[in-house]
Amino acid sequence: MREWRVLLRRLGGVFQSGRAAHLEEELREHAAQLAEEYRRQGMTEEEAHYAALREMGNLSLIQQDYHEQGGLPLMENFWLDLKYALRTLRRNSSFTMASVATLAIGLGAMITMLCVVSAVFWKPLPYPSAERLAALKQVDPRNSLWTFSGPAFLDVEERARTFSAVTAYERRTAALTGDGDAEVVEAAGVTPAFFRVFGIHLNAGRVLENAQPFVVISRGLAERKWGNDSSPIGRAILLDGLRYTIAGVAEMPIDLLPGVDLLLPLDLKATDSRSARELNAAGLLRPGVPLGEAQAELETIGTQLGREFGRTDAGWSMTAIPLANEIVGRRAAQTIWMIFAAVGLLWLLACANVAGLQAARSLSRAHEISTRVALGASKRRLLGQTMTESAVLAVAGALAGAAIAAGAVDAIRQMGNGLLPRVSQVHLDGATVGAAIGCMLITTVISGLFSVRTPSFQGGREVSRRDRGRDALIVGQVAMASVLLLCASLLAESFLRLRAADPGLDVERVLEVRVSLPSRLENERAKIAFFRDIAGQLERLPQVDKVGATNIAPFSGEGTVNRFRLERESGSNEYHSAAWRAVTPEFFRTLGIPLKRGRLFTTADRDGAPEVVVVSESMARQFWPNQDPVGQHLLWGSSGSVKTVIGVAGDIRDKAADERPLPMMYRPFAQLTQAPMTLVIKTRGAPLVAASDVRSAIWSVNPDVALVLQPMREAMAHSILGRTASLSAMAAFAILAMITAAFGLYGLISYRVNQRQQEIGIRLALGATPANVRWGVQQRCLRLAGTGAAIGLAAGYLTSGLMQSLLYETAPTEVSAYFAVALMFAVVALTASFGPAGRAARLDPAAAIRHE
Amino acid sequence: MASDSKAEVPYGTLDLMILKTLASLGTLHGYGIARRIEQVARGSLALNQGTIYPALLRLEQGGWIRSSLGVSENNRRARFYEVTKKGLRRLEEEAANWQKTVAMMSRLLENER
Repeated sequence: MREWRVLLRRLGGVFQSGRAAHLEEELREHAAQLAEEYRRQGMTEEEAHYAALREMGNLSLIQQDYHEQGGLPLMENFWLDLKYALRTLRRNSSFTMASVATLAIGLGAMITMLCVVSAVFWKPLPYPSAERLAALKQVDPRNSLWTFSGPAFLDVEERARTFSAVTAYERRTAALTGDGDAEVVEAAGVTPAFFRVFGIHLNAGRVLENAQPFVVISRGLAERKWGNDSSPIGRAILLDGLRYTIAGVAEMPIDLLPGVDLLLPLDLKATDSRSARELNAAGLLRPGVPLGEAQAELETIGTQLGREFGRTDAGWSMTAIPLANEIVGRRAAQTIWMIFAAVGLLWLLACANVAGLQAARSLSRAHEISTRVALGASKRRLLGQTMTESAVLAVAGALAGAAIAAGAVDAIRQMGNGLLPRVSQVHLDGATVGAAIGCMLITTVISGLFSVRTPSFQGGREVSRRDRGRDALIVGQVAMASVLLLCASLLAESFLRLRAADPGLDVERVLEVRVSLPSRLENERAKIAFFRDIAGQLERLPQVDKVGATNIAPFSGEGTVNRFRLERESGSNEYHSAAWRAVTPEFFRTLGIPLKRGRLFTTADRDGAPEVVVVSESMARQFWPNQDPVGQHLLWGSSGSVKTVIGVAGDIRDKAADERPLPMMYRPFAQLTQAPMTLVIKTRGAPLVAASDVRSAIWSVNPDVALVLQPMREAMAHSILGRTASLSAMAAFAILAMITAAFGLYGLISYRVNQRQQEIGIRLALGATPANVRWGVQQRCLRLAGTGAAIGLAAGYLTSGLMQSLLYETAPTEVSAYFAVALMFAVVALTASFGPAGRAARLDPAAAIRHE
Repeated sequence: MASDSKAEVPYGTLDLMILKTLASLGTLHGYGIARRIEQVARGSLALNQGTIYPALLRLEQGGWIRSSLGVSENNRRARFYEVTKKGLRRLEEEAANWQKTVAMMSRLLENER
């Protein structure tokens, strides 16, 4: 009942040293009174004294009892153990440093990844009623999820009853001009319900209405552009040359639209194309409505639309998925879990390593421990002491690990934008720190228990059987490290193949310039003239070699796709689809895209001239196999206007370096005018050296365009940044794991050699050559590493299928990767055993036999 | 001195004996408590008198008795113990429990015979 009060008093007792002195006085007094009593009964002084002492009982036992009752013996022992542990650890500073460093790396990585995992998967989205948010998807006849077409979204908005509100949104960039420097801002077009669905908090002003030229901006943009003092509300701005008024300032939903600074109305019309499915859609479920009900309703609506708009929507359906899944994305989720698993292995490895170190050390303390056992130390006390020692190590490791994690989490938040979903949520918090403390406790128990299972504790010299436990420990370490190394080498293999993959275009000395056209150039002729003028200006610069333009910035991850039919299919409703680009004639030469057949565009392919198209090699192969595609016709889009194929160009992958090239149709910019456009400029020197001249040349034609410049090589590297980052993380963990395992091997082999000194001495005395002895030691090390690597590779073989989607043109069973790992561990084993084996070979037989 | 006719102190009964002694005699020091218990036992109990001190500490920690420093009849400093209200309640409970146990034990032993 009132246990805690007793505990409190006892705790108080720990710090009251006066109590014991009082007891002694009380006992003395008691004995004196007893003695006096006996004297009165007729005993002599001496007899009475002894009789009294006998009557009192064993005084030292009573004092011990009293002491234990008075304080908390466990805690006092703990104090002693702690002092003792700190002293021994200080004395063995190299052991301590090695253990703490290993634990710090393991725990630091673990805490960091816990923060990431909790931010990405466990924390609810930071919106009111986050659990009611769902992403809406169209589902094609093959069950793949698609974003929405505008009209289909409007139909859902009108018909769905399970949602309180639905909204569509679409990311874009926009050139912001008209007030200060022209800049390109990340923007999103949203329907008015967006604010309600995500519960967006307005700092000032009001939300958007349908199809009105108003925008809502982020506080960051407001401060950057207009400072803190003046309210931007009511100001007029130009976006891509169109006039908008700022209606409000709001907190942007950064998880959903990271980096977006501006929301503008998304104008949807029921007459828009139903086959252009490019809108993100989300809905807020009515309170109490389960997701399944909404899914069923959407399916019904999808079926209705399939009947009503058979030409575009037949066979299509709709569904809803939790918004959090949509935001994180499958690939990112897989990558994060993979890295988390890697870190988990690294952490286990660190624990095993420290356990091994501690076990080896407790063996070297065998003499001390057996002396203490002989003097009556209980097993519990010895265990307590070892545990205290591992706890001290674990706490030190955890503190250092937490420091590492704090730094790493900061770095992730700063650099992870665009790499990691929900990166703004990544920080050290109570939950993750709690989990880290959990990890630390487990670490203590694992490493402490292992060292207890050593012969010195069992009091015997029966060594060989115990050695098996330690062997298992080291085999386990090598196995874990080789799993990590295998994953890393598969990823590295993918990465090398990706780097070597030919994008089909020459990215060296190419500067990409995104140009947002001023809207005053409303007619196509003016736009064409504008780009002709810019190209003319640029070509006059000494640093500029060639200038081309395309509607898609290469490696931006964007792309455009259209439907088409072949000439012979004109009566059919079946369409093919292929990517398309609108390019200037110089585009191909600037990027070194080879012409395979026919001809490329010339300035003669202008508006009014016969409509022409250049197709890519893979398109030619797919649609005109064994024929000459030049001179063939295709029917463009749903309108079916006829285009003549005039040439075949090489395949390129300009969307992202790791995406296979789609069949591609090129159209001349002069016949299919687009905006914005991206200039590709071949420079004579380093691309960025030309940047400022390029800017002023363009602004000399029109000062109102917004420009974003980037060397194309950077854009290409950026398009595989996710792969690069996950590869670097895995490689780092794998190397750490290998080093840890190598230290473990080294420690074990050295220990083994020390322990077998006598035996080795005898063998040397009986005629074994030093070379025999050296090889014997190395063989043992190789055998352990070999077993570990074999187990690890087998485990890796069984689990590497999970990695398939993260690999690029690399099978998870790639032989070379397995071979590389095996070789690596052979080298590690030989290196780790080099020193100890040498020492064994140099042993002086006489001294070794006398030893002990 | 110790002979076969003396019983060991049954486990857990020392607390009860001390509580009862303090309840009937009021404030006492350790020696007084020990003497009183010996008197009542009339030589049938093998009590190491020193063992009452850890018991006294335990009772005090539980809040059943309290102690204060004072001066004994022969003018020496001594610690005096008295029972608290809570201690009296506990004595009642424990005594009832003890009675029940004794009654049960004697019934059991009667039947066995």
